[in-house]
Amino acid sequence: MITMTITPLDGKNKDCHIKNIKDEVDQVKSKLVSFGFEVASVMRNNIAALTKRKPSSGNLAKNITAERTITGMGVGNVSRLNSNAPYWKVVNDGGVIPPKTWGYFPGPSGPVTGHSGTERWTVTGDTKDWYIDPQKPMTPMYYIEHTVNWIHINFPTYFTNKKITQI
Amino acid sequence: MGNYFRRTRNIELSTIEYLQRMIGNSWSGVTVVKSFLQAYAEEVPVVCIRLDETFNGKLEIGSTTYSNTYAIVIDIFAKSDAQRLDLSDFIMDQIKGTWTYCNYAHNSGRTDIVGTPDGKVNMATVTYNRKVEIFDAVASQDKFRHLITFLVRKF
Repeated sequence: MITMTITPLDGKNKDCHIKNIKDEVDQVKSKLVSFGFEVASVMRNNIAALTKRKPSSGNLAKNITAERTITGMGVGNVSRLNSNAPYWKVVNDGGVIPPKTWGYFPGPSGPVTGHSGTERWTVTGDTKDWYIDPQKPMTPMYYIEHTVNWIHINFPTYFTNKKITQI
Repeated sequence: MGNYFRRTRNIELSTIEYLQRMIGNSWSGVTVVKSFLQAYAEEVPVVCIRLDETFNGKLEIGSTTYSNTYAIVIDIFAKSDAQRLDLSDFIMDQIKGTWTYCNYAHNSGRTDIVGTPDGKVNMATVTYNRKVEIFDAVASQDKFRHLITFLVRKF
């Protein structure tokens, strides 16, 4: 809670100033909420843009949400992600060499020459399918960091249409 | 000289060259690379430095000049948790100010790349400085990883 003392110097009624401040605070709160939804949208777009192996199910992006919290707005509900897209962290940070497994590639004849690193495989565990032996670690997508960078660039200008300095 | 590199590449190379020199002056056995996959081909400790993203902004309303901000990512792959902390602190100390921006050019045979100083790179904001937790880490690179991301501008 912030307490302040207002002494009108321009002859206007003190209550008028208090009302203006309350209005501005409400507008900033509302703007913060819309900013939160925009951040979630940016994060979803980052995931789509940074996905190398396509087609993607879009499951991770679908589970990036903006929600009101006690302190303001939150983007990316960890409980929801852990249950619906538990790979959210490893996709962001990369680094792990995926385990050897059996599965298939999108084409009927297995992986296509020259498409290395761009084809999405599906794990089946069925030994009749292709034996997949990954050799390289996953490159981090850093979609969270991309979004935080975006916030740092855009947050200062997001409120410029609000006349905060005038209150 | 043959071909000149453009601004984004110059920012990346200037930053890599600067940090490589600083790390080389104070640390021994630390390899500096510029691609994530290269880092896994080297013995730890490895520092991977790369320019990840460019934000294009106009210098001012009506201007046709860009005032860009660049996001630099530094992945640290350390031997131990202590080294991870020391290396990350060291790098944070190095990037807190400015370093030389160079225009790079290479000859037609691409045998030599030469940088000519042309201003400074300024760190604007550190956006992340955190440990990267890989719970089932198998590769030694994944055991003590650290991530630093920051925004820079050229002036």
